[in-house]
Amino acid sequence: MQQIINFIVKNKNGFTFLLLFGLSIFLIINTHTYQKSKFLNFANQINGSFYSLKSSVNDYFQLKKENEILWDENQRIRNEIMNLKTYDSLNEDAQFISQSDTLFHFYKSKIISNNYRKNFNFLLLNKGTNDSIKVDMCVISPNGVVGIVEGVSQNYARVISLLNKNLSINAEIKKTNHFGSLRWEGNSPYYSTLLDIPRSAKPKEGDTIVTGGNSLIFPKGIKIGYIENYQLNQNTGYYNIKVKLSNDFTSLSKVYVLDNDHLKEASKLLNQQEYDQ
Amino acid sequence: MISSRIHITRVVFWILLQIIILNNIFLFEAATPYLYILPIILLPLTINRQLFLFIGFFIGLIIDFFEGTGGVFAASTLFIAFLRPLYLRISFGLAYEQMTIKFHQESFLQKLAYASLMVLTHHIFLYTLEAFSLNNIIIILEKTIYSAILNVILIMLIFSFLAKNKKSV
Repeated sequence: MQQIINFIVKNKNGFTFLLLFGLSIFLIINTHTYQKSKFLNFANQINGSFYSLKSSVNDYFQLKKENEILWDENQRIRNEIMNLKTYDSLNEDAQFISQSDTLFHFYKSKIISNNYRKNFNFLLLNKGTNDSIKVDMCVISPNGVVGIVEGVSQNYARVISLLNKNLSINAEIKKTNHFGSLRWEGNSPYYSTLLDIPRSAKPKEGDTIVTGGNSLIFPKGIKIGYIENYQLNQNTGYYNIKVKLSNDFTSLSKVYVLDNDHLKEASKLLNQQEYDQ
Repeated sequence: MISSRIHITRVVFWILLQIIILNNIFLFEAATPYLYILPIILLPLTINRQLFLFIGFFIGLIIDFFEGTGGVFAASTLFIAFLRPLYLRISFGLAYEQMTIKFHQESFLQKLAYASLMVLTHHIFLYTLEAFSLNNIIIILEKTIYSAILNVILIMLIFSFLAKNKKSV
C-alpha cells in the first residue's frame, strides 16, 4: 500500500495529466453522441448571453450588406406575389394554393454565434422555446438553406449547419428532378458535395440545386446552390457533384426558422410503419 | 502577488481576444490564429507543474465552452502544458537546466524552435481531435500546417515587440 502511494506521489504530474486528458476526451466523445443536449444547452444559456452582446455590436458593421440582401428578397417576393395574384384571377382552384401554404410558419431569428472553420459546425440563434422554436425545425436564409434546429433552451436554439459532416440532406437538381444526398466534406465553407446522382441525370455546370421532397423537415424547392463541376464515378455509375452554396456561411446573420405543422403527424405515421414491419 | 495578478490579466486578455476577434478570422480558408496559447508559452518557468497543468486545461476548456467543441481545445492545451518542460530543454538546453533563461535575451533561433514546437504540437492535436476521424487526413494536415505557419509568424512578431519593450524600460 505504502509503495502504491509513494508511486502515485512520485508521478503526480503524470497522473494529473492523464486524469485531465481523460476528462477532455470524455467531453469530446460526449459532444459527438446524439443525446448530448443537456450539457450543451446549459452552455448555450451562458455563452448565448455573451454572444448576443457581441452580435449587437457586430450588427452595425453589416447593415449595408443586410440591406442589400433584404432588398433582393423583397424584389423576389413582390414578383411572386404579383404572379400569384394573376394566377388567382385566372384560376378557380387558387383557393387550394393559399390553403396549403399555411402548412408552414416562419419565425424570424438572428444568428448570434456562427462557426464555419471546424468539421462539425453549429450556429446559435437568439430564439428558443419561449418563441415556440422546437427541435427539427428547418432554418433558411433569404439565399437558401442554412440548417436544422438540433437543440433548444429557453432563449436560444442550436442549429446544425449545412457545414457539418454529420448532416446529410435530400437535394435534387431543379431541372431534372434527380435527387441525391448533400454532404459537406469539411474543407471549404463555400462548397458542398452532392452524392448519388444517377448517370441519367446529365448535370450541367450552373444548374440550380434545391431541396428535394423526400424530407419531412425541408419543404421542396428551397435553393441550396449551383453546380460548380461534376465527376462521374465509373465504378458506381453515380455522379459526384461539387455544389457552390448560394449562402455565404461566413457572413450569415438574419435567418428564418420554418415550422411544418404536419411534421409530427407525418413522422408518427412513418414510425408506425416501421413498427408494423 | 503583484506578478500573479499580471499573469491572470494576461490570460484573461488573450482569452477574450481569442473569443471575440481571432475565432472569426479564417485566412485563405485554412488558417486561424490561436494566440490564446501565448500565456501558456510565456508563463514563468518556476511555476508549480501541477498548477500549470490545471491552468492549461482550464484555458482550453474556456475556449471550448465558447466554441462548443467539448474538450478539443482543453486536450491540446493540456498536452502542450505537459510537454513544455521537455520543449524548453530541447530548445534552450543548459540555460533551462540552470533556470537562467532571460527570454528577451535568448537567440532568435532558440525562440523560433520553442515557439514552433509548442504551436505544432498544439495544432496537430487540435485538428485531429476536432476532425474526430482520420478519414480526411490530408485536409487535416493541410489545415494544421497553414495554421501553424501563421501562428508561428504571429508569435515571433509578438516576441520581438516584447523584446523591444523590455529594452526601452
